[in-house]
Parts: sequence; structure tokens; C-alpha cells
Amino acid sequence: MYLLCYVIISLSVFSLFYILRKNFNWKIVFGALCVTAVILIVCILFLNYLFQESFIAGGYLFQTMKSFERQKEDIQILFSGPSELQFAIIPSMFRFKAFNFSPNAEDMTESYYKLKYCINRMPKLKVVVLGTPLSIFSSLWHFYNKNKVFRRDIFYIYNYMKLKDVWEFGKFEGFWTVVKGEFFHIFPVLFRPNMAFLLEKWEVLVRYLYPDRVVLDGWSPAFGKGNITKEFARQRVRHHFEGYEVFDKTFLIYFEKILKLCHNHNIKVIVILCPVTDSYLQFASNYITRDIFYKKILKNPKYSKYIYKILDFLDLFAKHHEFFDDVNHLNINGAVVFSELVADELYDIIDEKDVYRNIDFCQFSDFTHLYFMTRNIYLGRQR
Amino acid sequence: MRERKEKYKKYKDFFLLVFLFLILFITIGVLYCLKYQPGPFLYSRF
Repeated sequence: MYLLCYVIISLSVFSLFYILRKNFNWKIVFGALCVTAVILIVCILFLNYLFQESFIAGGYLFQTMKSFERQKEDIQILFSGPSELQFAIIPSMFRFKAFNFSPNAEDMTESYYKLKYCINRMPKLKVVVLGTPLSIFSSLWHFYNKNKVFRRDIFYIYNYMKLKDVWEFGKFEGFWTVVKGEFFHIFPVLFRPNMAFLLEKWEVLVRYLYPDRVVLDGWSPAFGKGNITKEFARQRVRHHFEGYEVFDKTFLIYFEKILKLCHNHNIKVIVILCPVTDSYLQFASNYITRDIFYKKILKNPKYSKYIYKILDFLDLFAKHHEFFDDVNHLNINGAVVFSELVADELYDIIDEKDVYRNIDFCQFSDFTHLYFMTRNIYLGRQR
Repeated sequence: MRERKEKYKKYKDFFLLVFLFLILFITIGVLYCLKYQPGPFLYSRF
């Protein structure tokens, strides 16, 4: 492929020289350059228009935002966090109105600005369930902020973030990152990783145009069957922690900001630790353990005074690999079982009079049978 | 007749140049992107 590119470049340069030597005319060359530039700009704009949604979390975020906007006034419990939560919580299984707003690789800064926007628009909101996997405070997410994620810019474009917030964020992340992010949001195709992805896996992006993922109240199912190797767990843990700070200062500041924001709005904060496999826990113990996480975060008086409850399911399915899509994400079976457990835990917090009868759930006819099928398999196993 | 030929030749050169510039710039862009090595999990789940 590289060779082909070099051959094409050489041939076209040679032909250009040949033509220009024979008959050189500045006007024609300048005109040709202008026309080429116009054609290229039109192509880029078209690709931008076509793939803009696909570039951002596979269209998941747009679908979730649209779904959220439709029902924000009824939501009583909001789940917010990274992808661990996105695949694990099925809001339709709750007896009260819940919504799972957890795009993948969401860090504390994005959670904060998202919640800041959401809280004022959800009059019935009582509880925010904050997903805090062990890797949530890793400085790895700074790397993503600088290199890939346009989500913050999406939040800004859709008024989830105000200019004031972008300014505030710039102080932490650097203004160049923010400006770069804004530019590449307008032209995502020009962003090198995106362009590379478009060239190498264009069929994936085309598939994203017609998402086969079902997104129900923010939950998207994963259909993996627990084929998890130790090597994969090792790689994932290294990816999360190696060479990064486990507790990054900026994310700790934003975590405190989230807690204070909810406290000021009289909203309870529940912190949830989603299940991971035993191999993930084993490798992660080289960088962080549950005890350290509790000592530094959950039992730290600075934060704990704002935390209403801790739901710790970290090693709940440690040995049940059949519930996992990969080492730290539950599949559909795991999500069904896990959501039932979480629903039981949350039931006490919501008053009986506020219980929301989830009649809309029946409308998801395509998906309902799948849900009941999986649920019955689980119940059968229990008996 | 000769004038017409000259005119067509001018257009021919022009479109040939546009074509060659397009190929050149697109190939340079493709090469630039191909050289980019994303991390193992860049576009997978995190």
C-alpha cells in the first residue's frame, strides 16, 4: 500500500513536470490549483456531513442525547459514568424512571458538565448514580482528551456546556486542547486518527450510519459470551494504568465538584463500582486495590460526607465470566442480573408514591422478548 | 480550425492538471494517514 502510494506520487509529480515543461502557463496552473482545492473542500465537507455522528462514539452519544431530551422531565434516577455503566444498567428494568447517560470513556470532567446541564432540566431527579470504576481517576483520560474525544465539543455545540464552562475547562486542560477540539469538531475528517480510521475501517463507519446497536434509555447491549483471556485482561489493565497517575488531580477536583453540585441541588449521590473479572482485579492490584480506592476516595472525609451510599459490586461476578462481554464490561446476561440487583438496592431510596409504572417498556416489542428470554434463563438457573 | 484546436488543448491541459493535482494531494493525504499508528484500544471500548 505504501509502495503504491509512493509510485502514484512519483508518477503524478513526473507527469506534472512533463506537462508544465511543455506548456507552462501560470494562469492555467493557478486555476487548476483553485479548482482542485474547491473539489477537495467539497469532498471533505461531504465526508464530514456523512460521518460526523459516526465518529463520535459510534452514534451512541447522539442517540442517547436525543432519547434523554425526550424524557428528561420524568427522570428520577440518572446513571452517569463511563462505559462500564453504559453496558451494565438497563433503565427499563427499574420500577421508577431511570436513565443511563454513560457514554464510553467518559471522564469526571465530562460527567460534571453533563450533570450541570442535566440537573437543572430534570425537576423529578432524586438520585444520581455515579459510576466509579477503579480506572476513573487515571490520567489516561487526559490522553484521550488531547487525542481523540470530541464529546466535550459536542456538549458545547448542543449547549450542554456554556462558553464559561469551556473557559473553565481550558484552565485545567490547556486552551490549545480546547481550541483544537473545537476546530476538529467542525472538521472531524481532518483529524488524523479519524482519517486513518476512515481509510482502514470505512465499513465500520458506514455501519455506524445505520446503527445495529439498540440504545434503550441510554443502555446499549453487548452480546459477547465471556471469552476472556488473561492476556486480554493484562493488556486492558496496562492500558488503563501503566505510565499514568492512578489518582489524577484534575479528576479529583471535578469529582468533588460533582458531589457539591448534587449536594447543592439536594440530590443524593450513590457511587457504584461495577463488576469486573477476577483476572482484571488480579492485574489491577499492581496499580490499585479496592482498599486504596476506598481510603483515597470513598472513605475520604472530603468526599464521603456527600456520598449517600456506596454500591460495591466490584467482585460480584468475578468468577462468572459468562456475564462479561470483556474483562470490565458486562454482556446482556450480566446486565439483566446486575440491573435487578441495583434496582433492589435503589428501591428503598425512592418513595412508594413516586414509583413510576414503566408502561412504555412494552413498546419496545423487538427487544422485549430478548429481555424476558435472558431473564428466564437467569431465573431458571437460580431455581 | 487551428484556433479551436488550441482552445481544446488549453482545456485539456487544465483538466489534466486538475486531475494530477487531485491524485497527488489525495495520495499524500492517504500516505499521511496510513503512517498513523493508533493505540490498541483507540477505537474499541475502554
